[in-house]
Amino acid sequence: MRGYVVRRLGYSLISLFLLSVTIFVAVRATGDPALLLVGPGGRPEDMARARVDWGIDRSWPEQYLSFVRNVARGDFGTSFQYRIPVRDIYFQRLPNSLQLAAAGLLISLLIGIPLGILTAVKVDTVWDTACKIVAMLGLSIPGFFVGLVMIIVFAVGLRWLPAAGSGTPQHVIMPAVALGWYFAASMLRLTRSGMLDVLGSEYVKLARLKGTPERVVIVKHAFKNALIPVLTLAGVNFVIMLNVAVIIETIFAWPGIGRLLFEGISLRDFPVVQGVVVMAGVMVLGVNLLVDLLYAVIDPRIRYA
Amino acid sequence: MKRTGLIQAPGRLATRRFSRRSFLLHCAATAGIAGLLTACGQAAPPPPAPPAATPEAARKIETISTPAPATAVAKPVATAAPAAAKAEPKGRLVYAWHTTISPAWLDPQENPPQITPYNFAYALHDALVKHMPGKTFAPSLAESYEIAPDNKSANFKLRQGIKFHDGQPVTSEDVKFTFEKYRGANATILKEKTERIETPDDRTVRFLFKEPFLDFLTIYGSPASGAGWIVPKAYYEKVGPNEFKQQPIGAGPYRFVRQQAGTEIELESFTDYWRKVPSVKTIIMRGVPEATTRVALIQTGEADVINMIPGELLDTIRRDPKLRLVSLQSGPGWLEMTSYDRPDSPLKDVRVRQAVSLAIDRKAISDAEMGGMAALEGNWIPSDWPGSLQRPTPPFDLAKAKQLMAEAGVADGFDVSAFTPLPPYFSWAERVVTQLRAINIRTQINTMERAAFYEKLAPGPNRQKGFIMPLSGAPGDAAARIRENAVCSGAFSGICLPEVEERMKRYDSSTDPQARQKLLDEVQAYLLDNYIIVPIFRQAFSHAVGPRIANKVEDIEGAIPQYVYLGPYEDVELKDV
Repeated sequence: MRGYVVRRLGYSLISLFLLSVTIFVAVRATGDPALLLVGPGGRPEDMARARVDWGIDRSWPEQYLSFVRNVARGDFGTSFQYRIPVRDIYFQRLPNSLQLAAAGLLISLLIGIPLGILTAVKVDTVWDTACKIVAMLGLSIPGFFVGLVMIIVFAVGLRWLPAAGSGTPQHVIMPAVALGWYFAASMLRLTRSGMLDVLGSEYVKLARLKGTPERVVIVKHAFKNALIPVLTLAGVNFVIMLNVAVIIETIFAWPGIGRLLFEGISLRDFPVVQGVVVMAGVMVLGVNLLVDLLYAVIDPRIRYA
Repeated sequence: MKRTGLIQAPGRLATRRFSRRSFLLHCAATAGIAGLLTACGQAAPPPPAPPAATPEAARKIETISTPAPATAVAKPVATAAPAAAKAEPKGRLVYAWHTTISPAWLDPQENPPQITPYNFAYALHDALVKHMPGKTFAPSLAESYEIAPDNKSANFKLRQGIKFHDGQPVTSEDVKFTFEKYRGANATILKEKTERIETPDDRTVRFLFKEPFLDFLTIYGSPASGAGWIVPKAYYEKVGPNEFKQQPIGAGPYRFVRQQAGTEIELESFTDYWRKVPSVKTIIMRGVPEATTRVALIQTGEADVINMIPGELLDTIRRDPKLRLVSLQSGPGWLEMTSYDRPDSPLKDVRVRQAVSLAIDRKAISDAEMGGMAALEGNWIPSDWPGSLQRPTPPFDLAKAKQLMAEAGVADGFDVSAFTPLPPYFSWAERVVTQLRAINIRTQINTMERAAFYEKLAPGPNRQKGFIMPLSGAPGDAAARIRENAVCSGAFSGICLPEVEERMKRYDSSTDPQARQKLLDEVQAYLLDNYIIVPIFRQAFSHAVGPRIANKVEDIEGAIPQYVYLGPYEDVELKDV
């Protein structure tokens, strides 16, 4: 077990290293931020001074080592545009993103799982077809379109919900639905396929032969087993929703991390982009590592494989 | 890969007491409950209900008038402080912005060459002299000023009893510090031409120049620079530039309360403001990048003023009787043909360049992109700027364009490598490119992000090739725009012509206002008559004002020369508060 843990930790560290190098190089490949720091039309000497002030006059390896040293201390640097530590902006926005991602995940689970079960139980019926259409629409209609339609209907038309912003539970509803919409469709499909697999298995047939009521077969025997991959996916989806809800956060003027990332990219704010991406990477790796370790705890075959 | 393998065998672990699924079920339940708690945990007041409808016709302001250049000022100019209205500030105004709100804009010491940061300057800070409704270079923190007849000095007398938001008095030392530490737009020219600043007492500031500085007030007292917007020396030195951007202190009508970096700023009325006590107590400036959302916010009454409405949403505002539409003439867009001086390029021929201009249907583009509200001006320097040469709308004449192409021997047209517009004006560019196909000029849109575009505008061998379509809302005057776009050393210039260089050198050394204007006219005429710069039109910068705003819209939108936003903030009033 110890070897397994060490191996997994090693893989995670290697992934994190590769991610940090990639993002470090990628943001610098977009060009020189000095122009944006000084402003369009800035004098060359002012741009040179800005490069010195912000440490981007040094060689890339020097900058990278400094970046890694600082990250190890929990310091992502100071934002070029906001002039405050990236850590401060990040944690200022993290609660908003957590709120949105949690609500989006909840909505995706509440829509995806019941419909997934329904479509599997009522396979090849009109219910199945209807749910398949819902899944197809969920995967094909972009979240931003869903968001804009909801703003027009529920904010402008019916005046039920605020159009944008944050601060009240009502503000969360539309962005969460727009965000959870796509993920609900993927949940639906995964739940359906999982349920169909399980419903065709020998132990379910045996339960039915024993005269177990159908409701019990579905809920107790089939659903519980089909849920495992769905919940695994939900964990990963949560991290994705937390970090890359760029368009939804922009449409709803939601002050989250996705919008911060977008602002960082458009303004060549290297420290912000690096900070957000590295934190997202740490979260994904953390979740994966946790799942791997838990699986190994639960299933000995994995740690000996 | 490994997770996929596990997902495929879910049923094997059913008998374990602590199974994956039970753990994950618990996690999911916890996450769900946490999500619910988070979502329900912050109760805040609902958005204000929209007040009763106030039908008023949408209006259109075509141009902002700008009086004569500052160089005419040679005698003392003074204004008395108006009797301060002591009404209690009330109410909360929400102003939806079309951009991310950069904290850097809260510090006038670093004002870039853009008009946008002046929104925050007009609220938080105050200048010795600034543009105000109906008056350019209006004395503000200065009660009077005088430019010497020889243009070699300028004297300013500060008002009595003016204060910063922390209660400290505004003194001549603050003015001196602000000027000397200023590092934003036009800092170079201001400092190169200034010998020294004298502060004989707390209320007197004297600028002494190395040579006659005719453009001093044009730069110092207008949005061409932020050097005249006074920051408190003691506080700025204490906290430094970065902290100042987080907690700015100024002498303007509103004081800073809080910000969520990039997304929202809250301001509160400063009741000791010298001009008047602001009527609105709280102003929230909120960054809402999506135009449809901004329009929804004003329709629902969640915002009182919104900026920048694209053409396709103008009718939504027009149809709503509660809302007032304002369209202000902002920065002009123009076309540069970068290979006009290359011997092997068809664009070397002035007839071909003229054909390009004739093939552009400016009205059609304005109709489609800006609801027909763009000003179709014949100069790339706005007609209301000091020193601008007035020109009629360039004609659209496809037949003549084709004839000119034939005369130039390129009736079958030619390919141009790329058409690069300033982001995000790609749809304008698409329309121009489509129109150019009518005279067989084939090109394609080249998109890049804004910073990259500005890099590619810098003079030198790496300057962008093909057609370039810049657009600039940066404030200034004709001379500044020529220096930027049309001289060899211009920050964004691809033009290096002796006809322009020689005249601009004479302009810089001249102290005769009439001779200077003549030189500016000649330079502009040369560039326009030779189709080296082809104006397209001025962008119609459309805003909407909601029903809670009590003012006449023309008093608070575009009322300040060269400033296409809401203001003066202290004049804004709300109904029913």
